[in-house]
Amino acid sequence: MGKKVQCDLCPTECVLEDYQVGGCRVRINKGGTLYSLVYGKPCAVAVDPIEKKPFFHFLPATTAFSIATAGCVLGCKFCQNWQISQADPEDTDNLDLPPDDVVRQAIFYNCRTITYTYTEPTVFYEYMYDTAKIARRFNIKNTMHTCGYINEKPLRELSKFMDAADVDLKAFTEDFYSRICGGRLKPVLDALVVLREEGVWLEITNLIISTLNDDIKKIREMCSWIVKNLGPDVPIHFSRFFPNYKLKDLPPTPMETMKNARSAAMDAGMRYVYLGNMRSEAENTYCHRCKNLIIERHGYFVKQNNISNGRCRFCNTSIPGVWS
Amino acid sequence: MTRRDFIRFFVFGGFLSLFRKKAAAFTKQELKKAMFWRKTG
Repeated sequence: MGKKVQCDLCPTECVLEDYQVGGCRVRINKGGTLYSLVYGKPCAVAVDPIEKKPFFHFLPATTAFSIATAGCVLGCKFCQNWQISQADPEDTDNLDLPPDDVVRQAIFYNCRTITYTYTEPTVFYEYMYDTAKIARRFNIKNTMHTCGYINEKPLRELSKFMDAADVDLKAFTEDFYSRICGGRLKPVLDALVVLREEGVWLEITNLIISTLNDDIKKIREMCSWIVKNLGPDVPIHFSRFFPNYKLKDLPPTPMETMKNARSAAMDAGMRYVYLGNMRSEAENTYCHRCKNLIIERHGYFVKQNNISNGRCRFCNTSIPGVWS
Repeated sequence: MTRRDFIRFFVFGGFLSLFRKKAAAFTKQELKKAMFWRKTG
């Protein structure tokens, strides 16, 4: 009997011979059974402000117990965490931290949330899933920062325990996903719709890279798609690119491009548009009705919060998000 | 402490460290069975 297996976790759907490891580097076929190599073995553990993820409409000014293991389902040339995302689990310094210990540590450090982040959490699906299940029992919220490159079935199963997701929508062209990331755009768009349907609080991050995905027409098109398919209340974070990993020859994204992207998003009907990796007033939250400043931020820190019971303190409009 | 004691101390420590790493490498690690996959042949 053959010992080939097919992984159905991400849209790459690797078919693996015996003792072959998947493209994510962390799933191995051993004797016709697929195993995770990183269960309970995080290579990055930290307590971060939730704003760092970034989540701007999810329990502001709280902390998130953040974990990651080695590996990724994509291979983005601009990856900011390539030292761990593009590494084999044998090459990273891993801790021994089973799911119940993650929850215990989160409680110890007074974190309201556990965030699966830094690398792509899909690759440590089983670890994340088990941890999220335990965390839910202790009233700790679960969030993830993901590229959204995951198949529908596992995503729907995970959504039962996931409270919020920040999805990297890296560009709005198949060409970019194929050439720069080694993936496809369509599955990411499908994942966004699934998360919305499952009631997971959603925020989107888009890293703008000069010459690669800074076409304002495309950005407008992407935002129109978001408004049409996910609604105008989904916050979007445009992030400024700085040279990194295999894209060291490109310059940092000009401020002007960032501001133009924000204007394009607002023109398309998006209500909450933020600029990240740079200091500006676009890191604050303004009420979409009365336009008053409701959350003032400086970097990852909240300086003032004028949201009370999920409503704007000035005009009593309900502000989309998870506030308590 | 003589120079010989000093060197002996470090060589012994080195062997102990190597032995610990070898022992850890040979300890059978329990792998977690993955979710969402199927046999194809």
